[in-house]
This record gives sequence, structure tokens and C-alpha cells, in this order.
Amino acid sequence: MDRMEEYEALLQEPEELPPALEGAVARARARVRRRRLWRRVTAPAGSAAAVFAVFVLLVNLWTPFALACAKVPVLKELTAAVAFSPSLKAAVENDYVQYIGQSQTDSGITVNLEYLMADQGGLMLFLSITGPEEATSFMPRVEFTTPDGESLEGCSVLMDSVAPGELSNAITVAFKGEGEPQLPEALRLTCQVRAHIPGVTDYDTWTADASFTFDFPLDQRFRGQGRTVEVNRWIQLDGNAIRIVNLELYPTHARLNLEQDPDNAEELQSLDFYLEDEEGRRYEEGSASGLSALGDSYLFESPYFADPDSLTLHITRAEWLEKGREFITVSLKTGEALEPMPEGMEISAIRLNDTTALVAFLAPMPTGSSETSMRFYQLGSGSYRLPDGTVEFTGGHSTYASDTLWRGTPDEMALPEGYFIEEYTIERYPWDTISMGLHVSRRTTFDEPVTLTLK
Amino acid sequence: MTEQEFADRAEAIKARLYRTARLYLGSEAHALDAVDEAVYQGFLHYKKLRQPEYFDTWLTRILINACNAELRRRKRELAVAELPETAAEEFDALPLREAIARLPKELRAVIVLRYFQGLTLAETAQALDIPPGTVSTRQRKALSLLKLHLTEEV
Repeated sequence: MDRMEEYEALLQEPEELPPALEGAVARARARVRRRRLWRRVTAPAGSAAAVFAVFVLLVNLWTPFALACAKVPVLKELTAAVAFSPSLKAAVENDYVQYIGQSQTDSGITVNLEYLMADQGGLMLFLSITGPEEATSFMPRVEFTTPDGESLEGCSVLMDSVAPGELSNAITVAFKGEGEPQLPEALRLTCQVRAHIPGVTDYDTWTADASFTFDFPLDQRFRGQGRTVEVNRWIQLDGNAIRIVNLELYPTHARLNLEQDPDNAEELQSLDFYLEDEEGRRYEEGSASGLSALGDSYLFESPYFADPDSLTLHITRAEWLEKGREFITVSLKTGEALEPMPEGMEISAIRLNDTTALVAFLAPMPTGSSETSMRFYQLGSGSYRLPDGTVEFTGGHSTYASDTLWRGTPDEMALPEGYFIEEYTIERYPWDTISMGLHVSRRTTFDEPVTLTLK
Repeated sequence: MTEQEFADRAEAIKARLYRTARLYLGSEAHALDAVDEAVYQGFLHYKKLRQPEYFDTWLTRILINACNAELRRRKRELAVAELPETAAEEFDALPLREAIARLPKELRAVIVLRYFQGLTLAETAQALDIPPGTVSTRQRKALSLLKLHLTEEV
């Protein structure tokens, strides 16, 4: 069957409509009515500002009231927004949420600050943004301080774009330190938001910033939340010594803290693992914020609310970078590496023009990867070194599977089956050789996971 | 337009919306979510629709936005397997439905609306809020990647 026959067949293919489609209009109508009801309950700020202010204060300062509010229909949206994260789902089920309910409008953009979850490990804000009807997404840029303007120290703020009207945990803060409580009693969120309007803006030139400042107290329940399981055990992992220091368990996420022996020949770059409790429940790596590690602190889904009696660590994969081999030099004249490459990885480079170079790392796709579910892993560090030793960052790369490298150029070459390419474009680079940063020099998938009972 | 009129018209095209979302997202469950969201957004904003004759393209535009929001949400769940525009041979090797699903989303939207929902070039431009020239360019690229010899006009 050629492509056109395939097209005709696809057009004619009878597609069974799912039964759930039947109720789509009725569901949307019911959702609109719930929203209107909710708006009536909270009262528009313009028509009943005083009532609204008292309501917000009550919600923020009086936990039982906040919990009561958390049970109104709008909670359904929050439940949907946290469905992807077992930790956050458990937190919502345990009413571990503060309702904020503040809304501000500037330059045609409205920010609704809806919910907050926080603990000693981090802070997560749920908000929705609306604006011009044609806008397809909004990008918030935020800064957290205390109401006195004092910066929050030792934290990473992560921001994500927001689809119009969608409740999203677009703003998260991860506290890097441990031990000392870092949550202040109240916070000020200073926020600039830009809209993306197709045909009007592109991703480099969004609309001008709309500015907002929100002040809100933090629920006292959030302070002092979290517990530590001390482990303090050295293990030999794949030829290197690693100390499992402890587990930090917070309501919104958990952390596995490691320490590497400075005498190790290789640096641990990343670890794939899961924890399992006595009932076989798994707590996977990663976190709702999208952050998977802070240095040697690896984040995973939290068993905080389940509070299991035992926890066993299963390490399934480790990535290492050999010390002293952090960069690999490649010739832009011949395209070949001038130093031996780590096993299982290749590099190639070409010059696009007098000032722009293209560099590609190549490696076989990992086990389990298929045409419909491609899995890649990081090969380069994203940095490169100039001949004078200065280290610069590339600002991004593209990763894709292909059987051809440098397609459409005079340097086009065939690749063996099952390879993927990690490609970097380096501009303003006139030199003949380039030293590219490596992320990994060895990657081990354990046939049998390395297992360790931690609790 | 009244709320009931909106409900009736949305009811009439929901199957078409679903097929569009199904092809665009490649998943029944996500397509259903996108249709739910689009109809909900439509309910919220139908009073702003000044020319009811453009109802279908207007709701289709909302649907495409809902699909894009769904794609952003799914990013966290699974790696997006879009292929770059340079990967012509990879597209050749895939069945058509899968090849469409793995087009870059800007090209995919044009192909789905033009050749599966049957919108004209002008309607597609209106639904995606892009100039007709951009629709032309994208459909040419997509047809070439998919090796489909379909009319590029109208």
C-alpha cells in the first residue's frame, strides 16, 4: 500500500467514538455552573472588596476554615492538577493544602493565585492565568521575598509556562539546605507575566510584562514538616564508594542524600532508582516540580503520608564521568575526535560556516527504546571550552534518532541502526578544534538492581 | 448566541472535534480530555464570538489550544517522540497515522485540519491564527515529509 492508499484508508477508517464523548457538552456545562457558583461564593473583589478581604484572611489565617474551603467544588481542579504526582495527590488527600484565593489584573492579564503547599524541603504554588483570548500560553517570572523585601536564601525557583485558565503548579521552590526551618511566616511573590499570542508574538518577543505583587501568610502547619531517616552506610557501587547519608521525607517530595568518596576514579552523574515499602508500594525517583536531583541529593516520590515501616532502595542504573576526562577535543577540519572517546559513544563535528560549528554526540539507543517509545540519555554536559581555557555554555541541544548524520550537507554519513544523535550548534566559534564537555563516560544498567534496606 | 445554541452546535461537531484531537494527540484518553476542555472554554467565551458563522473554526482553534496544553502536560509523563523536519527517512518508515503523530506539532495541526477535517486553507489559517502563507508553507513541508500528493490549493 503506497502513501496515498494509506491516506484514503485512514480517511475511510470507521472510528468508534468513545462512550464518554457522549457527555462532553453536559460535563462542560456543569463545570461552567460550578465555576459560576464558586465566583458567587467568593464574590468579585470590585463589588464586595471588604467581604473578599475578610474571606482571604480567614482562609489564610484559620486552618479549619481553609480546610473547609478546600472541600468546595473547585478542589476538583486541584485534584486534576496533582494527578500526575503521587506525592502531591497524597498531600491533597490529607488536606495538606493552603487556599490563597488572591487575584490581580494588570495590562489585560489576570493571575489567580489559588493554592499553596509547602514544607521544609520546598514550596509549590498553584495558579491560573488568563488574558487576551488569543493568547495560547503565559510565562511567569517570579521572585520570592519576605514582605520586608528580604530574599529567600539557598533555594532554586523553577517556573513553567501556563496554558490559559489551567490550574498548574507552575512555580516551585526547592530549598537546598537541610535541618534548619527556612519557611518565613509570610511571603511576598513579585511576578512578571508575559503572554504568547500566535501570529503576534513569537517565543523571543512575547508581550510586555504585566506586573503583580502578592503578599500572603504561610500556614503554620507547613513549618517543621518533614522527618529524616538516618542511614549512614558506605556501599561499593559499580567500583566506586558511595555513602548513603540519609532520607529526608517531606509531604511534597523526598530526598535520598548521598556522599561520594573523593578518592573515587569517577564522579556519579546520575542514578536511576526506586524505593519499595513492606507492602510492595514503589516510590519512584523524580518530583512534582520536575527537579530530579540537587547535587548528590536525589528527589523521589514521598512516602511521608504512607509512613511505611520499611523502605528498601533499588538502584537500577548509574552514570559516571571519569575524573580528568570532563572534556573531549574534536577537530572541526576532519570532524574526528583527537582523544579516545568513552566506550559506546562517538563524536562528530562539522563547520556550517566561518563562525558556526555543529557538534554531534552519537550513541546506541538504550535497551527498551522502540520506534514508538524513544528513550535517550544525556551525553554532553552542554558546555565547551575555548582554546584559552574559558568554559562557555551552548544554551541547548536537540536529541533525535536517525540513521543519517549531517543530513543534507556535504558531510552526510550513514549511521548504524538504532543510534541517536545529540546535536549542538556553537555560534561565534572561529577556531579549528573544540573541546566539548562530557556528561557521562560510562553507563551501567544493573541486570539485578543493587538493593539496600534503609529503614 | 445563547447558551443553548452553543450547546447544540458543540454537540453537533463534537465527533469531528474528537477525531481531530485523536489524530493530533495520538491518544483516545487525551483526546477526550482536550474535547472536554475545549467545550468548557467555549462555554466560557461563546458570548465573545461576534460572527457565529465562524463557530466551527473558532471552536477548532480552542480545541487546538487545548491539545497543545495537553501536550505540555504530557511532557512530564512521557518523552515526546516528535521527529525533526530533517528526519525524512524516519517518516517514510512509519505507518501514516504514526508518521502524522510524530510530525512537529505546527505541521501536524495543519495536516490534521486541512486533510482530515477538510478545512480550507483560509479556514485553517483562521483556526490556527496564522497567515495563509504560513499554512501553505507548513502543509508543503508536511506533505513532503509524509510523501502525500494532495492538492495544496484552496
